[in-house]
Amino acid sequence: MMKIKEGFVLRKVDKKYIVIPVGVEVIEFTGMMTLNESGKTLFEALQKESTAEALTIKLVETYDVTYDEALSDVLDFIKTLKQYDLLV
Amino acid sequence: MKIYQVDQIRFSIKWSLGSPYIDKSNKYEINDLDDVSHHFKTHIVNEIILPKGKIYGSKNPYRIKNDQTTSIYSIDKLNEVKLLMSYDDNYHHINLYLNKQKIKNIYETEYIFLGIMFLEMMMNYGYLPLHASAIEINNDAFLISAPSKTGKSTQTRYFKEVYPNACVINEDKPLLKIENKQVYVIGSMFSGAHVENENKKSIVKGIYFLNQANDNQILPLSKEDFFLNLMKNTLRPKEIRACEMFLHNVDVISKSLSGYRFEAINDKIASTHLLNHFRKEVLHDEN
Repeated sequence: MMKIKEGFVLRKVDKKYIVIPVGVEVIEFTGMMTLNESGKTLFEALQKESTAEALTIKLVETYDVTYDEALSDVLDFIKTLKQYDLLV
Repeated sequence: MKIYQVDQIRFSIKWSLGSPYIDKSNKYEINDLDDVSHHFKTHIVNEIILPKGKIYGSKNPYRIKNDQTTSIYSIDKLNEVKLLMSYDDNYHHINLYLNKQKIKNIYETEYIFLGIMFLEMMMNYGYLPLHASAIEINNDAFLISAPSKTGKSTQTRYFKEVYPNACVINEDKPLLKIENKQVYVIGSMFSGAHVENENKKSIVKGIYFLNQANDNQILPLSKEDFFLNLMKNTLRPKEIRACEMFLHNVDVISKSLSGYRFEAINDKIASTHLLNHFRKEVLHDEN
C-alpha cells in the first residue's frame, strides 16, 4: 500500500496539472512535477492508500488502454514518485 | 532601526551595527512610521538556543514549527547552530539570530537571509520574485532570467557597458506584480552579490531566459514553455494561500507577456543582439 505524502498539492493551471510542495512539512522537495491527464488521475487516486494493481485498474476503467499498457504507466509513475520521495 | 518602503509595503529592519548594507538600502528609506507592520531584527549572539517544537528535515536547513512561529536553522559539523530565522504566520515579526562564533562574514550572511525572509513576506502580498536581472531602457523594461551561475550578471554588465543609459532595477531577484492587467517589475534593496538595484517600478514588456551558447540567437517560447521557465526560476511560497495566488500570477504573466529563449555568447555583442530583438520584436519599433 502507498499514498502521497502530506504537503503536496495538485493544481490545474490552464491545461496543465502541476504538483508543488506547500508547508513546512515538505522541505526536501523544492521542485515541481507536471502531469498529464493519466498522471493527474493516478495522483488523485494516491491521495488515499492504494496499490499498483488498483491504480492499473483505475487507468483501464478511465482511459482506452490495455491492462499491460496501464501497468507499465503505473510502474513508471510510482518510480518517479519514489525518486522524489513523494510516497509513504 | 530603519523604516523602508518597497512598492506599497512598509517594514522596519534593525540591522546589525555597522552593516555596510544600511547605506546601500537608503534609497528605500522613509521616515513615516504609519502602517509599518513587518519588523525584521538581527541578533548577533554567542549561542543559539532552538525553540521548542517539531523538527522537520534530515539535512540543513532544518525547520521547527510550533503554535507561534516557524523557525529555520542551520547547524555546523559539530551540530551547533550557526543561524536561526524565526517568523510568525503573517511575517509581522521576523528575527534572525547569527552565531558570531560560527559565521565569518556576519554582514553578508545577514543581508542574504534578511533577503530570503523579505521575499517570503512579499510573496504573501502576491509579489512574485523571479531569479532575473531587470533592466529598463528608455522607460521600457525587460528581464533576463536564469538560474545562478548562468551568466546573468555578466550579460547585465555587458549591457550596461554597451548602453550606459540602461538602468538595472534589480540584478538578482526583482519582484513582479500584476496590477490593472499589466505586469510590473519592482526594485528592492535585496539584489544579490553586487547589490545593484533602483527604487523603481516599471512595466515589463518581455522576459528572456538566458542560456550560454556559441552563437547569439533569440527564439520565442510557446506559452507552455514560458510557463515552465517561469516556474523554474521563481521562488515559491510555502503557504497554501500564497501558493494559489502564485500559480495564478505565473499563469497570467505567461499569457500576457512574451517569453524568449536567449542563446548568448560570453561577449558584449550579445547585448546588441538582445536590444535589437527587444526593440523590433517586443516594442515593434522599426527605427
